[in-house]
Amino acid sequence: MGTLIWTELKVLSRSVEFLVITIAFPMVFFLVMSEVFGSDRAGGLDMNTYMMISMAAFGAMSVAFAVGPRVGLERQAGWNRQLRLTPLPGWGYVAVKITVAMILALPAVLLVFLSGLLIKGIELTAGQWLAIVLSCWISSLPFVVLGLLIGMAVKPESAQPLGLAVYLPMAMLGGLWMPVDILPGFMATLAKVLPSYWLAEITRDRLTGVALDLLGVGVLAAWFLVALSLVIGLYRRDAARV
Amino acid sequence: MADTVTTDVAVSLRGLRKTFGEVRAVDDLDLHIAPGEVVALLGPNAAGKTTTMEMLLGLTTPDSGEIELFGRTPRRAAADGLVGAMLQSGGFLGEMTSREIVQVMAAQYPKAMKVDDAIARAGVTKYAKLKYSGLSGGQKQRTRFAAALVCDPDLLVLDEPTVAMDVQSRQEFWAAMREYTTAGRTVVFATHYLAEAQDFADRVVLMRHGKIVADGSVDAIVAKVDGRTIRAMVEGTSVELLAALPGVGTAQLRGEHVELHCSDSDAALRALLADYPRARDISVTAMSLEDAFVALTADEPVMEEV
Repeated sequence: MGTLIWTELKVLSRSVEFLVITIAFPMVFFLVMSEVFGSDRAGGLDMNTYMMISMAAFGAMSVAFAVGPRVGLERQAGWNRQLRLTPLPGWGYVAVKITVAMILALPAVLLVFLSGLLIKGIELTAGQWLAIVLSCWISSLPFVVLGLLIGMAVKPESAQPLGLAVYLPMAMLGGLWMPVDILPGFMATLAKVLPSYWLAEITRDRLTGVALDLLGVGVLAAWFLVALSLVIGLYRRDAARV
Repeated sequence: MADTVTTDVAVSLRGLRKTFGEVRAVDDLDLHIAPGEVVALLGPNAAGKTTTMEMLLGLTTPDSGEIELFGRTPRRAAADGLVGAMLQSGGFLGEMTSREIVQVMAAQYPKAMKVDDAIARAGVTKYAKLKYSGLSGGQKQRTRFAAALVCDPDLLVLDEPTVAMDVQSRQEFWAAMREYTTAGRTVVFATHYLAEAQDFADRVVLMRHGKIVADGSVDAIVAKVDGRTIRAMVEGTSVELLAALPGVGTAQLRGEHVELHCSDSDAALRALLADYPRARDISVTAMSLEDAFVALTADEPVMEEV
């Protein structure tokens, strides 16, 4: 599995479009968005810090929805069929896909935080930095599996557009583009069932001293488990095909 | 890893059936292959060769029947690293280089060959660092061969391995294969090229409509259909009558076009003219291997020699 993960990382890192668009764009968005909202405060944080966490969450999502749907290409090429002829078990294939996306999500998150530290001069303790990195990174797991689900569920031509159609609304309604507080009431309620809302909210709570919100953890875990069981189901369907 | 395998049957297929919608792709197929045998699966398109191979590898589930490779299930045999395959439906990612592909495949097995060995054997060394998407059809096929070879399998399954190769690549490919099989490995390959079956296989299995129509050594198969072909225009006859003529092996009739594959064309021609004095446009030609193939795998109506 190690070689497969390493090779996939190597292949993806050769793609400049992927590196720039997926991994670096959230940082650019952060630098722009933090200027737009200026010196307001939201959720007990100054706007720079608030947007930094929103955009780090957005970055993790971007990677998840860029990497996962690539499985569609592999299914089309017959690569997973070829791998099924090896001792690599089905769960191993799924684990490789999740690991690769998780590894790539980390630099996207780190870039946003680094630009917050170096360009925006956001001051946090080392413990706080570590806490938000870990929180943001671990909470992106449901999105990685959702991206994979899209790649497993539809034809490769439709995987990227469908990925966009899922993740852009999810980012917006989850309050990553603008604070949920300024959205109409029903949308604020809707946000609370979205993993994107909790990804950012739980991470922000690391800075405001709020205890870990169990509702949030539950929502994230539910999305993760449902998506994972669908992925496993679709993988089995693929394996039993014809 | 040949030493870990101690069964006297490499491949055992019993009563295998697979239907796609209305089409019986594989129809009650029995096939047993001994370790060390090199078997060619021959047949026209849609004869069931690919489906048979995919079931043998555990990629397609049969409707009924049993499959054992070295006494285990296909999945178990694959997990034990006993099987290498080049499939039509299996493919690689265009963004990977040939070397990366072989490396990834090698890494899945506990006891694989050295990556560079597999690459050298398959003749991929020169372009191992190029992306798979940029390779020619023949180069891609050889990369697939290296990937199939790298687990050092006891059984190699190849579905039309030389399909995109030019004549020279094809010769090099079989030279590499020959080197590999001298160590007593079992090989099953499907091909459209009769010459490949003749040159390379110990045993030829001819398939038509999902059934085996002939199974034997290359010589036996060729002998079965050896002879000449008589073509003529004949009115008022039937396949049964034609096939019953002395010296006739198989007969085909399309309208008034008669084609007789004969073991004794002299006797057959005398009998034909005696029974059908008005037969015209008669030609007698030596039967090529292609004719033999057609004779054995042609669609209706065909009468087989007993």
